Order: sequence, then C-alpha cells, then structure tokens
Amino acid sequence: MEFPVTDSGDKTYINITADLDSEVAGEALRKAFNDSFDSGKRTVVLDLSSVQIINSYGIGKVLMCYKRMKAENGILMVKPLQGFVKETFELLMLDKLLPVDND
Amino acid sequence: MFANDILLQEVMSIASKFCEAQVLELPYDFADLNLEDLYRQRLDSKKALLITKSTKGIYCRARFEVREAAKLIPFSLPFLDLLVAEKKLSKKAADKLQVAFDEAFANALEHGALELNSNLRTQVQEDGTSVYEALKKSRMQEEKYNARPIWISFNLQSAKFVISVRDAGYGFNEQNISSTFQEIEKPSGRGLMLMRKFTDRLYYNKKGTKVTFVKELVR
Repeated sequence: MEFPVTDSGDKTYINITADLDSEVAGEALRKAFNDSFDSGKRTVVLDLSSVQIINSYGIGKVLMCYKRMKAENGILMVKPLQGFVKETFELLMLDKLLPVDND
Repeated sequence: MFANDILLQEVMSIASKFCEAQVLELPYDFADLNLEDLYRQRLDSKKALLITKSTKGIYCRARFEVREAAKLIPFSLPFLDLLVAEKKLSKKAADKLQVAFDEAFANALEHGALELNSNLRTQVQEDGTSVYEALKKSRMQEEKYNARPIWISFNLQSAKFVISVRDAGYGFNEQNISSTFQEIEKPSGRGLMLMRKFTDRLYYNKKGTKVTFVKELVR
C-alpha cells in the first residue's frame, strides 16, 4: 500500500487512501511522511478525505509524524476533518494540535 | 428479532476457514444456566469456537492463540453488518463499536499477551519505527508469547449487544491510565478513551484481564 504525495506551493499533501486502523495503512503513512520529511518538506498536510475510520493505532502514527515535524519547527496539518474522524479528533483533543488546511 | 440463521451462517462461514466450530441450540433462555459450566462441558480447550443459540439470542465465544490474532477481527463483522441491516444500529454506531472492539483486542494482544509497555512507543529506532513495534513483531514470532490465549465473546440479544475480550496476562489497573487522559501527546490511553466514549457501558473484571462493553440497540 502506498499513499500518493503531491506538492502544491510550499505544502506537501499526503493523500491517505485507506482507513487508518491497520499496520499496513500505518506503515504506508510512516513511509510517505518520512520520505517527505527526509527530503526537507516542513509543511505537510494529511488529506483525510478518504478515511472513514481511525483508531488509536492510526492516531499514534499521526502523532509520530506531528512530533517529528514539531521537533524541526515544521507544521503538520490535516484536511478535511469530517464525520467519524472529526469526532474522534475532537474527542481526543487532536483538533487543538493539528490545524486544518482550508486551501 | 434478528435474522439469526443468516448471522449463524456468516459466523460459521468465517469460522470454517480456519477453526472447528460447534453450534448448540438451546430451547430456553440461557440466562437460566451457567454458561461457564456449559462451556467447560462442551468446549474442548483446544476447540476454537462455540455458538449458543437460544430464545434470548446468540452467544458466540472463540478462543484463539496470539499467533492466530489476525483471524479474530473478522468475527465482529457479521454481527455489526446484521445489526445495521436490521436497523438496530446506525452505521456510525457500528463503526464506533468496531473501533472499540479493535482497541480491546489490541490491548489484550499487546499488553496482556505480549507484555508490551506503552512507554516504549516514545523510543524511536533509526528507521523511524518505534521500539514498541519492533518488539511486538519479535515477540509475535516467539512461542513463549504467541501460544498465549485470547478469548472473545459476542452476546447478541434483542435490546443489547455485549462484547468481551479476555487475555491471560497479569492484568492492569485502569486508574493508572485514566490520570493521563488530559495529556494530548501521551504515548497511551487513547484506546481506553475511545472504548469508553464509543460504547454505552464498559467494565473490567477485578484483575483487569477482561473487558466487557455493552451497546444498547434500537428497539
């Protein structure tokens, strides 16, 4: 499984095309993020529009990306927050940590 | 009531791919009998799946070893699909219940059976993976850990759906986790919070090795 990555302006978008509730999806996110981060990208947006379900494993992966970015003064954003994912983010107060990209 | 026979067919279909299954039909309300005794009498400790069908509903219990862990997840799906089809549960509620089950199962597997400490999640290896995940992969290959049992049960009645997950580990104290709920970036505790919020009732046995949660159904 691989998640497509595209650059637009100064932002890098990782299009997460599966639910973030399995090791396979988590590994795909880790790889896509690390590849972007290691190539110097410091504003990364996780496109969650195709994600129906996220569990604590998936959230853990998102937070790992966040922490790595934060350590290098970068920004990790999400788009869009909707449905089950939005509810889960708000429940765990992650919406206060990860800004939403409205572009 | 439910399309019980369809549900039974679905569960048996999943079971038959990899384990031996028995179905017991009880003509009476199984609340009148001690299920533990029944299972001890009828369920060989090596046999994986027992389904009890009675006038009250369906009770399904499966015993697996850690090495077969991935096979446990699909068992919840026929129950949830049926409840949504019968309009006893909304799709959103079914998704939440699936997440709650995933969390309970992950805890039983990773903490109960594999004895992984959540603090290891913050230790990262050179390739970006955590020490926690590396240790999980390693212990899944060791017989000392991967032969350990996990039990799941699904109890489907007309007014509620009850799920239990049990492991044979040392147990845990939920109070030790609850105190960190307010820390957004903490390494653990999110699974427990999701389980509590996505179900109507949740409780642990005294030792902390078994979690049971209840979802009230649409009448």
